[in-house]
Amino acid sequence: MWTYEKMLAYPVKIARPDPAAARIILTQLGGPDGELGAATRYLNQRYTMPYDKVKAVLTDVGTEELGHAEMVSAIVRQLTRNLSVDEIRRGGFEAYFVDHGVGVYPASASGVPFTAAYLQSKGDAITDLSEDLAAEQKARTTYDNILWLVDDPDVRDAIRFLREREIVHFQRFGEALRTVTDELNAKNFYAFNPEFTGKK
Amino acid sequence: MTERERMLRTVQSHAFSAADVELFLDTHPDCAAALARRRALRGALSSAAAAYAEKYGPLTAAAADGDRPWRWVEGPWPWEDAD
Repeated sequence: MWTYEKMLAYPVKIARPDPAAARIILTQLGGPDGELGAATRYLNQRYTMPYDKVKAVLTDVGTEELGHAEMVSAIVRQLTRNLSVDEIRRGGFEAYFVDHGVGVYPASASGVPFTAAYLQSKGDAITDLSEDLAAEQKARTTYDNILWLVDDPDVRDAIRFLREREIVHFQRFGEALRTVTDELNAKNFYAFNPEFTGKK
Repeated sequence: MTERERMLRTVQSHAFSAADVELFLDTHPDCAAALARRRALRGALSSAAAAYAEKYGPLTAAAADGDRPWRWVEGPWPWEDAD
């Protein structure tokens, strides 16, 4: 279970609204490499994970990602406060506005709604952890791309924090994968799925 | 930066560091240095969170006192930049 803490993982304090930036950054909430997908992926994969250390990593990283989804949402919210109709038009925010107003809706930058098709829970420790390593790098690349496009230092500060966490998580998932391969039975040299043996 | 923001940042900073060391401990559960660091950070976090709550209200519903009115509902909420 979870308990809510009434603070963000890292401060978000954005002075100037910028709907065009909001539209781009929203992808890290509900896009293909976003925080909602990350949290869902890790928190679902852990139920069949056979090794305790790795269950801990999936639980703790998954929990942290829920906090990151909140941070991305706070950035989007603060970038779309008090917008005039003119700012909505000039910022290319009309399509989003007509569907969602200034509500925070999990979708990708290109407008595709969040879907569980972005992630896997394959029921194989090695397969899942390999996906998790790739997921952290894809999220890191997305934050890199956002940093190419956004100039506001208030926004960049929070995005840099989130980018850095992808790198730390990649490191921890690497150690987790090493744990799994170390634990495999010597007879399982080719690393067949340790989560399902097919035996009664 | 307001006093509320400054105190909250202290809490956020200790909470972040503690969580990061705890994640490290998931894959290094025998690391004595990390365990000592984690103990110090959790201690600093409890004091900072209590000092913040005293002035600006509880950070968790469980930490709220039972007095009237129920202060948990009071803003600003984390995504609002009220200061």
